[in-house]
Amino acid sequence: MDQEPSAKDLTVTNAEAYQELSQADLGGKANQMSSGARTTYVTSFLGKHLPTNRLKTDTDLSAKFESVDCSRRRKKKRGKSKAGVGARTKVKAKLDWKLECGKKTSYSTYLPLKEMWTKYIEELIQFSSSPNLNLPAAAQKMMKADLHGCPLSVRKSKCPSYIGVSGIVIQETRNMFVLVTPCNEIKSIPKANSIFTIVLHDYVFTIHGNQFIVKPGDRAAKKFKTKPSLDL
Amino acid sequence: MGKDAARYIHKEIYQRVNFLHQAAKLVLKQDPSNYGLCRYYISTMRTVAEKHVIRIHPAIKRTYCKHCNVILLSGQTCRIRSRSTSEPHTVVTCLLCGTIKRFMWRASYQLWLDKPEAWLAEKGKAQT
Ligand SMILES: [Zn+2]
Repeated sequence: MDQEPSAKDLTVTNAEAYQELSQADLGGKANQMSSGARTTYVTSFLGKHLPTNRLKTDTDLSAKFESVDCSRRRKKKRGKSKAGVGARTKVKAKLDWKLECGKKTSYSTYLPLKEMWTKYIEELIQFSSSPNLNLPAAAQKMMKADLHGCPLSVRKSKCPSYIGVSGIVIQETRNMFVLVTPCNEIKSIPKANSIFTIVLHDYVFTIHGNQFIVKPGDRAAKKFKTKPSLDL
Repeated sequence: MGKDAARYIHKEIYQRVNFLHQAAKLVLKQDPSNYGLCRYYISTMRTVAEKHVIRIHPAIKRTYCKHCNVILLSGQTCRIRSRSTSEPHTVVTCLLCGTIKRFMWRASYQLWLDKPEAWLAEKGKAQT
């Protein structure tokens, strides 16, 4: 009896929040595919559906030979079918996924993500509703917000080569921020011993990396304690 | 009973869940071979919902594979077929791990949200 009404309340807000955001975001630019995205789509589609031999181009023909007199080809033995226990364990091993550092990607691919994040954070903090923003409350909300897709830059760090790096966060793990820089590079930056800044309209949010060492999923539930911060 | 407060107490979490779901969709649309990032967003979304004991709306829950956390897009990451061997139903197969979802075509089936009981319980509490 005690639990049911709360469950109903929760589900109603869930549906409402879903509708609000989906109309704002999915209806807009997210639905249109840019030409770059289309080519990546086609290449990945071909890579998935064509047999692997077809995708290779023979560069060194002298090393290749084909027997003429043997008309019958041996059939390749097929492996076990995909479904079953074997496939599942395989996927589990694959799930521990990491972005390859220094790998080239295009910055423009993640621009819509950044746009979407800006809309999300505007709705969360409600910049427009009040001219004088309630800063402590906004900071509190910012801590619990999701940072995937936000434009981040490193202001201070113990390691001098990290200073000044800026880009879009595409992955946040316990110890790292993975950024895509405008030079189309993926860089992962440890949270420890650095100070990050996010610029939103006229406000600047500063994140002390040392206090942010939590998994992004657990961060919302965690209470922040004031830890002594290091002088950088 | 402070209905508004109770209703919006988790609003930020719902917004976050919603954002993560859309981000996962967007990433997969922009770069269709980038399953890893899509999986990461969905698994983050699930842990967020789990930590706050929030139920994910069926509209969202049906769009990802519950085993490998990838967004199911027909023709790209999943296969949708209708079967009627014993009872007519739709089978959605994840192409990456082979997990299947089945949806029965029961005319009488309703989501819990649409059922009248979900609403009556709340009314009863408000009156007492
Ligand atoms: Zn799957």
